[in-house]
Amino acid sequence: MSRRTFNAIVELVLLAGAIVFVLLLAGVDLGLIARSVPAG
Amino acid sequence: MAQAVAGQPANRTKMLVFLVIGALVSLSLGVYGRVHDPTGDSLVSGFFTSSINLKVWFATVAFVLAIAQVLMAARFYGHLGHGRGPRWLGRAHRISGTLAFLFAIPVAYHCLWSLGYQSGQARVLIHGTFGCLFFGALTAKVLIVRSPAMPKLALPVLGGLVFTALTVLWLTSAFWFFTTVQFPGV
Repeated sequence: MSRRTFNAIVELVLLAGAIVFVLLLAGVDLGLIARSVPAG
Repeated sequence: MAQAVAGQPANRTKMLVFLVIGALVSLSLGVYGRVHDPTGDSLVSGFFTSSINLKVWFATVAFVLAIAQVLMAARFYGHLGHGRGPRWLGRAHRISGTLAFLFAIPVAYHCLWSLGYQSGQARVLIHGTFGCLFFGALTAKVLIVRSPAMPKLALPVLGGLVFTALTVLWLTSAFWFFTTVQFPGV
């Protein structure tokens, strides 16, 4: 794998992680994602 | 890897922009944690008995990976041992950093969503503050590491800040849990 491809994959994973993080925070608060696990 | 290109003037304006973006990330997380009503709910616990057990072990994995990161960086920048180490070290550094970030996400998510930014106890206040600082510093570091012509000190200072923040985070959460609640606590 070329260095460029490797770096692109790493950056995509980081970006995807950040997007999922923000979407989870916003999504659950806005009711877009159900709270499936009871308190405990 | 980091680029402090010899002979090229350091782009301080660009660095300042990256630092502002990092600061905004920190601030946004802090504001969210403060204004959001903590749910007190658990998330998935997976193999673990509860969310808190998952969190302390995920945080521990992230911390161990961060230690490996610092050692690898010290090696390929020539500060540890002779030479700059094997060629695969750079890739190992990036993979371990990415993994550390992925392990930190569910932990931070539960902290923000379930517990919020609290200031009742010193440990919790320090933990929350360094949590926000960690993600802001990490954002700035990731932006700077892939940009050419950054000031030479930018990367080691930000990398050190990220590692320091994660160390404080681990000490005020997983280490506290292991020493005062239970160990290994899976």
